[in-house]
Amino acid sequence: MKRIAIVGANGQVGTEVCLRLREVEGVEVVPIARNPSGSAFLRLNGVDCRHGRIADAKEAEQLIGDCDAVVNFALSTSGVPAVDRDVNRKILRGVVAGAKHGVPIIFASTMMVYAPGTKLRLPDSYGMEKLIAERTLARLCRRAHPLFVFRLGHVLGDLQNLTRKIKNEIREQKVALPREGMTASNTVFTSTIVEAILQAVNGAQSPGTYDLITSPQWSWREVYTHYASQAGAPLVLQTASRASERPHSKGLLRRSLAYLRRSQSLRERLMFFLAYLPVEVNQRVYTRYLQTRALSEIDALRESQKVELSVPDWREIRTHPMPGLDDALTLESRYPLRCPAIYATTRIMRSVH
Amino acid sequence: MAKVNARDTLSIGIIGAGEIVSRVHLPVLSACEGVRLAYVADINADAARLAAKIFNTIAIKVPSDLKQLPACDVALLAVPVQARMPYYELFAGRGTSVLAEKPLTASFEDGKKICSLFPEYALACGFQRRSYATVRLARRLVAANWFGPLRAISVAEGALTTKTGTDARFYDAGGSGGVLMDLGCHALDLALHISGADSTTVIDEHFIFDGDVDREVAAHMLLHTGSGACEMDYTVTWLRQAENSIQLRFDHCTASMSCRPAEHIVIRDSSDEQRSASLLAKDGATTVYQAFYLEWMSFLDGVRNRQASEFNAVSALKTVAAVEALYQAARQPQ
Repeated sequence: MKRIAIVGANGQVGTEVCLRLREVEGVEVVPIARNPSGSAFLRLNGVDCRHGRIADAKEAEQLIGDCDAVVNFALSTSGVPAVDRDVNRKILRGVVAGAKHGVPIIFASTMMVYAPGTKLRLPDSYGMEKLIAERTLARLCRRAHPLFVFRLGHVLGDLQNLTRKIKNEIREQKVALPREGMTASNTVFTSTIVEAILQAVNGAQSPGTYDLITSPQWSWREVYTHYASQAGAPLVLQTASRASERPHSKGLLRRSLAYLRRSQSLRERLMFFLAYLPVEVNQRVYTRYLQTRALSEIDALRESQKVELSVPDWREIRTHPMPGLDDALTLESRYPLRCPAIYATTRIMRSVH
Repeated sequence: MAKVNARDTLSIGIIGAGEIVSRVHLPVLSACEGVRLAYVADINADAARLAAKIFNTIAIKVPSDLKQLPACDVALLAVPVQARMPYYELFAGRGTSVLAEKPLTASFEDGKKICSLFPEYALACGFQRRSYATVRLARRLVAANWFGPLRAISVAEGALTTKTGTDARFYDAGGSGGVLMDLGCHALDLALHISGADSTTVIDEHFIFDGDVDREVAAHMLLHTGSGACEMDYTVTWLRQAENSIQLRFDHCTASMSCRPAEHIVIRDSSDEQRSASLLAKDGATTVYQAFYLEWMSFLDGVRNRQASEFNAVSALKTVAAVEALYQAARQPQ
């Protein structure tokens, strides 16, 4: 029996991974959460949880010291960058200090380390923090633990927000995909994460850094087609509005008029003085005023009708996927998500009597 | 009550430096006209200091003798409901107006007692969702019988909530109630506010408890309005994704609106759901900050003019009673 600790089990990905892992024969999943509020969903679905602060070295040993592998999904998200960085470092130290010597440590990182959404290739703060964490963990684990870094793509699964969003967009026929959806989605199903964890724990993979994505890679169109066919609904693609469609007020006069339109008291005062100017100037100002007003109202209309891209338009990334993973659909059926039907449903609005 | 002139700048004392204060009330108050932040007080001196520093005011560790708290014109009470009574008594005695975070209290009897301590304009309860543009429009369309009498309401709010912040300890201990007290009271208040109901009766309920903490509540209730009873299906949850919407059913159509700030109410033909129209709600808040801003401005205007605002605490008592009735029904043996 392999005992696998999941640190950050109360997170969206951690929760679903725990529920799928507990179905695997020969595995005892040990979810770790800071407090009972965080673990309520797992406990009410029959999964025993441990509670404590992994960031505290002493508590960490009690929490994970008897486990055969530790997977770290924990991430501080207080919104205060300095606090988050400090807590995340303490979590990494706690994981390494608390884990039994020699057991594999698996760190859930992100594809955002590649800065896929920017031309500058400079990761955003989330990607940077994860990159720093990868390096910190590599230093801490040296000669003590085999380290697996899983750079997760966009995570799909029955309990994931992204999956819910995709299903809603399909239902509402509001799907707009970059380049007709033919680009790589860089998505990964939670069942694929489970398989990767098991392969790492069972020694089927060498320690290292892997991009966790569907294998073979799915395009966005394949992802949406998959969920559309699950829902028995057609996939209707829309065209996204171009970002540059929104016209800008040019020129000092037009900008002044835009301001003027918003300020009634100023407008009334200026109208008085306008009457002293030649008719030609009056007409010009009035025309500009109407133009600005029309532009603004049309702008508001455009804004309300705008179709946004459903998914980020990332550049193509040269990925380093984990070898030997089965295809996503095979893994979905191999690691099913079983929780009482009441929690598996996503729509609970009861019909009005 | 202390005499406040209509043009006075009001000093605001804040009791409690939790997330709702630092993330919402303080940013909103710093953008309000005619107010001055007097102090932020908390039993946790560090929390008070952090909040006070950012918003350039004085931090106070709550003293064991509450009388040592400095004077202010208005106090925001944002501490757990069980700890509030001494503050209500203190501020009522001083003539300080109070805006209490929702819910006002855990029991109707306590609520009546608290309300009796203050003039109606001087005590408000933070059901700020009443200022949402959609809620104002929905209340108007029900009151004016746009679509005929309101027959039923269905409310479902919540999501699978697994992330926890620093305040999770309150819910772990069950000291401040669970999902009903924390989140569900908002939707109950909206149902009562929109329908114009004075009271509720619980017909059927199903709670999912986790120890002492309720994490999901589903109930069938009756809302008693001046023109008769209206049925309500009510679900609030931290355990799964809900629709997060309120549906109002009339004889020939259903009006649907989000539980969150929005601009539209969707009207659907009861006989053909494909036939729908959208009502644009312009009067009110379409963001959370706007909602809190409108709540504060309405309450402070009321304090200045000695007129009860739409957030007055007496109007929140029926919501307190509904929450209490649900908890009582849950505790009764089957």
